[in-house]
Amino acid sequence: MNRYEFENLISDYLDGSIPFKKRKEFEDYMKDDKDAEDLVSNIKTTISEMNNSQKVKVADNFNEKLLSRVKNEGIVSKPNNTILGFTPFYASILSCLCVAFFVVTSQLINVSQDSSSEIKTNQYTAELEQNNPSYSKSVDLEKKLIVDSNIDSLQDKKEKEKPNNSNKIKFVNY
Amino acid sequence: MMNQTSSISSIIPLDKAGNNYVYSDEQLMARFQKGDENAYIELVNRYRDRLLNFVYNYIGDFEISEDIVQDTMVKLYQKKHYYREIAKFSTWLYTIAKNLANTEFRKKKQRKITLLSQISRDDKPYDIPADQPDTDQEIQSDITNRIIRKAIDELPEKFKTVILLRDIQELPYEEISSIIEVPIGTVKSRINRARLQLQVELKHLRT
Repeated sequence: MNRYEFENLISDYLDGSIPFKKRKEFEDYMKDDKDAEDLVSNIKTTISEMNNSQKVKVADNFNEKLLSRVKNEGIVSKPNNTILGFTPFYASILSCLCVAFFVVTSQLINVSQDSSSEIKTNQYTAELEQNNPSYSKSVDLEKKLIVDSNIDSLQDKKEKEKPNNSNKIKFVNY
Repeated sequence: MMNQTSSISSIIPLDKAGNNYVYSDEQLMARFQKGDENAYIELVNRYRDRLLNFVYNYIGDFEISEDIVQDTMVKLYQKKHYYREIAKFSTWLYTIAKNLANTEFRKKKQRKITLLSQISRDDKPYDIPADQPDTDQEIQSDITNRIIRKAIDELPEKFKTVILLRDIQELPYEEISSIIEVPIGTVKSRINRARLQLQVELKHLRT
């Protein structure tokens, strides 16, 4: 046992809560070191002096003074109503957060389900294409038709977006 | 309201030996919460001196300490519905007193800094308002008490609180841990370090 360990165990030794093996080591250390023994003895003396130190008592009119104070300012305050330990304000904030969390989570789950079903569809079409070449041709044709229709609709849109100048005033030089 | 303070303590029965309370603090508090104001007086009687000793050793001024104990008891009255029986009543009350004493201690410290020059001229940190000791032994014991109190006062705040609660108030480690809101292991180590530091301060007393 070194000095540091010894000092750490002083209170445990005085309380009698030190394990038997350590107690033996502790006492051996004290036997070898007079200073250590004096330190423990001094601490013991100080504790008993503190225990027996002069106790102060309240003044005789303490209760009278207290009761008149209680009479004047002793308004009993009751604890606020709480919901699971939270005040109504914090409980409402917490419930809002919970609802928001569930909404966001459910949306995230939907998105992941959509993407997984898309992957499954792609895998299925790829398999179909491999097994049935006519299917791939028909799919190509469909895709071409879709592209053509998209181009047509884009052209229509551009035409619609062209400025119509028919209503503008024309200036003519005579 | 409460006007028969002298007859109240007789209403609360004691056991045959007359030193153990029939009603525990927690039972009295439950009665007080239901409106029994005699139970409040009994609680005040049980704790006023204990709290005064704790606060007085902490602050070092009798009058301020008595005011703090009064404030603690007023708070006990006002906040009675806040007490739940999950904690020991004494822990709850000591926590209130400790917090009030802490606030006062900090104020005092602040004043001490600003009025340092005046205080050094008239440095009387402990003015014990008790009877003067008669015999030589009593005088010696009084001097030792003053020196120990001064040494405790020199300790850092966290050591001071634990040493007062343990070695003067003789509270168990668990209760101290609840009052100062630190783990029991920390309480034990602080007490040990406080006792060692106290010996350094009291070196001249023992030689």
